[in-house]
Amino acid sequence: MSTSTHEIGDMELMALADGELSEPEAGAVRHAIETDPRLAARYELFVASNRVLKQAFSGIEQEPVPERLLAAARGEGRNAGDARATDADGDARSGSASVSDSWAEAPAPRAPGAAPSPRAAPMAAARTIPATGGRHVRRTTTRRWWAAAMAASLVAAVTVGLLAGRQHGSPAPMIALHSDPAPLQAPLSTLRSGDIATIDVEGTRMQVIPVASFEASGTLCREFEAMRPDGGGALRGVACAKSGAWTVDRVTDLATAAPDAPSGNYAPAGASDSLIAGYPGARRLTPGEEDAAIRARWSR
Amino acid sequence: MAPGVYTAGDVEDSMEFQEELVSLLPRLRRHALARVGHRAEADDLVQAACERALQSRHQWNPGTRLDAWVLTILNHLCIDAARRRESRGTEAPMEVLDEIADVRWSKRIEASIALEQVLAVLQALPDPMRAVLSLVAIDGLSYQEAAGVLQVPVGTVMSRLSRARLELMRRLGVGGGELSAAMS
Repeated sequence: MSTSTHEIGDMELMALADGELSEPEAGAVRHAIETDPRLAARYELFVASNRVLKQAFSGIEQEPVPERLLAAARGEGRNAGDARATDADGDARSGSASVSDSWAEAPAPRAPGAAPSPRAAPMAAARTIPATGGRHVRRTTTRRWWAAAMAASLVAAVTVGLLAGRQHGSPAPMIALHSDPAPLQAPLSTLRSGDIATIDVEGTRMQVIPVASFEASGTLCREFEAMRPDGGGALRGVACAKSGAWTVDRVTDLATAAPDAPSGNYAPAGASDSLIAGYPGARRLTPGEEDAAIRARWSR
Repeated sequence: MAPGVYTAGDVEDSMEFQEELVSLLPRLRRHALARVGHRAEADDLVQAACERALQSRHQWNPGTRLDAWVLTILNHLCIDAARRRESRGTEAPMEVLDEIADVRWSKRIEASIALEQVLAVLQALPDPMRAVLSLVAIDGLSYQEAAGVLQVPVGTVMSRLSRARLELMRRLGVGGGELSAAMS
């Protein structure tokens, strides 16, 4: 992963501030920050935004939870004497009713092959975090569980959405990535799902995030996202390990720029769909299996 | 347990589910407050999310994250709430992210920022930006976790998040002019 030559941008700075970068990427960005006061100032802005938000909301978790919410969570119906709850019913019910439609389109996560989970553990861990600085600690305890949940939700969601006709920015780097997957080799071999690396595709900087690993027809494959940090284009693809190298098997264009339109357009449903549905009999790797595959350099 | 199969009549399991839901309430309230800006309305959404979660309990697969699953439900409710509000015309328009106010950052300014002030600024942002800020910056989810809750690509989470943070800081008046000049 080449990190020393390219300009460090907001995405790298933010990802470092959020603990999303793995080494050597993180070290390279840290080094750039240490040697460039302008980058340091910009980085501080991202770190400070986290502090501001955490601090502002720090009291909410300690507040006593209203009785009507405790009752709702325990399925005990409504407290008859609670005027506030009665007033709120109309609104709450309309929200509940309208969500049922969209909810039906987006089924709950299901997890074939998900790791057996002590369910309470991740949440217990989350509750013990201090308001600031606990992020990494909590992450390490929870994100691997999440990988299974995420994978599962994608399985459930699925219709393969080829977003035909959507073009954002120049498609050239995308096409280049398809025909020459050399820049993908290192990130796909070494990153856990959810970690981020920056690659150079014919002079264009792109960020790559493996999102899932799976086995299909005896071959190990990874689904990944790649995007231009300026929002000029994004794709979701599948690459498979063959004879020790990654070959891009399929790619679909994602609409990354559109969702940021001012009044809150949402990404098309297809944009979050996994391509893995296109592989009959595919079996997702558990986080443990993925770690083992990384150690074994994806050879069988 | 086989995937998707809920063994009906498992009372103990049901109680466990409800208690886990109770333990999530503080986080759900915090998320909803960041999304809608009013406590009573936020609690209404959390209540609706709890009711929906209990109704749809069989759709949740033990072995996956319950917090993420409930947050996904709450997210849908928050989106609906934002749309209702937008249709009433009460959401402030998103300003173009141009120059950052020339106020030098200091810890003193930062420490004086109250929840109400942050809530007011959040309400001026588009709801998708509030969603990523709340999930990642406040609740501490990873980008991939947030993408799962919001059902959008990770790249979308990142681009929304970076814009949202800069916009938040600009509106709080805590980004130096040099910063914007440095990176524009």
